[in-house]
Amino acid sequence: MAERLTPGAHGRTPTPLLRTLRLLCLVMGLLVGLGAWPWASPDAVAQTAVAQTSTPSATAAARDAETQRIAATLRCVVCQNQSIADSQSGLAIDLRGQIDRLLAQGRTESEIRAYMVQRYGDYILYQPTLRPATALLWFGPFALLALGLWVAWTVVGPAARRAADTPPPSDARPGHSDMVADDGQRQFARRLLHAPASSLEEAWAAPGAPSAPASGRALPSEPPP
Amino acid sequence: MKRTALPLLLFLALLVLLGVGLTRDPRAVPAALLHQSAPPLQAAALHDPQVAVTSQDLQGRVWLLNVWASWCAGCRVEHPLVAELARSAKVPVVGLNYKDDRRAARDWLARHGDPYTWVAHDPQGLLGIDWGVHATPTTYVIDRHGAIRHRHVGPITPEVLNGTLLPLIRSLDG
Repeated sequence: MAERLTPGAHGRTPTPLLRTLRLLCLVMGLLVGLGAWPWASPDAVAQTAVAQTSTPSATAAARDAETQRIAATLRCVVCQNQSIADSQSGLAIDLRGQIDRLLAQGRTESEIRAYMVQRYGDYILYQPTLRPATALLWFGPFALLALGLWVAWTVVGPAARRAADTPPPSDARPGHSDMVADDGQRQFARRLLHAPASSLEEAWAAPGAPSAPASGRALPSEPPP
Repeated sequence: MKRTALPLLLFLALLVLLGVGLTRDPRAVPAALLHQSAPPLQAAALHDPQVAVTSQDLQGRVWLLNVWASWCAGCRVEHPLVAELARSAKVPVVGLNYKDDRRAARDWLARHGDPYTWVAHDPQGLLGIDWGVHATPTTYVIDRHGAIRHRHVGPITPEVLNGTLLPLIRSLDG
């Protein structure tokens, strides 16, 4: 007998396989969404509100440290997977020098970032500004996740429920316990179960009963002596 | 049938989106200054450090800025086309000598020809930073109102020259 998926008890709960698939969809969607979210580099998030080194007594070493810190939050346009602090490309070296010069002039960090964005665009920031043009980048992964969940629940869910409710093939035979019987067969089974021994022949004679053997033997599954 | 068509449609839409994404250049950095006022170009002339050159003189005209250097191989490759551009477009082509040695740059021009109206010398790359230069050669098209209308990063090819730059210049020149 070929194995087949047994439906749930009432035909409404999805099978274990479908439950696992739905959970897998959810987890993968969540991972994709989280991975695609434009996470900032740690330094970009930790922007200090303290006024920058604008006092004349600021030491060059402090400015150097500040330059490095700001440069670490900006992406090198030439070596595109490195920050301006890490990259040794000519442009990165120039831009670090420019950051140092701007700090010496007393510019604040946000002014320096605006200076860079004005010349090199959003790409130089690790975290793009939220604008109508970048809304798709920011919210797209979550929109895709919501879409995936909606598909899972409205398309896969009812399909699973429908599969569970589908009646079995019409060639189901009594005596085979893994096949669901039709109504007539169920009624016959009930009569057999609840009837006293003397009225078994009545149960066999009632409509819906399978054709009885000519010998009148009540239980066709008993082996002949 | 309708139910099964929906995931298929979504998949096809995703396929189109990703397919379009494959045609884009992931390393391309869009010009931040596009349609903005061109930064002022004021520097010492390459040929004579005592002479100051400025882009103020070019106000009211369509002009091109070509960022180049004697150490840049791509600039050597495109140089004949820059000359061709200057000839056929009939607009001033200004050079920005980027992070280069003055003598080396002048020798380079003497060897390969000088199509430029004038050349600004930018030894530290500060002007380059103002113009958002991140690679050489780079060519900018500036309109009569001083706005940058187009930027081409990389050597000018005949396709770029005839397909993009010349039509744009002609339309801007009126």
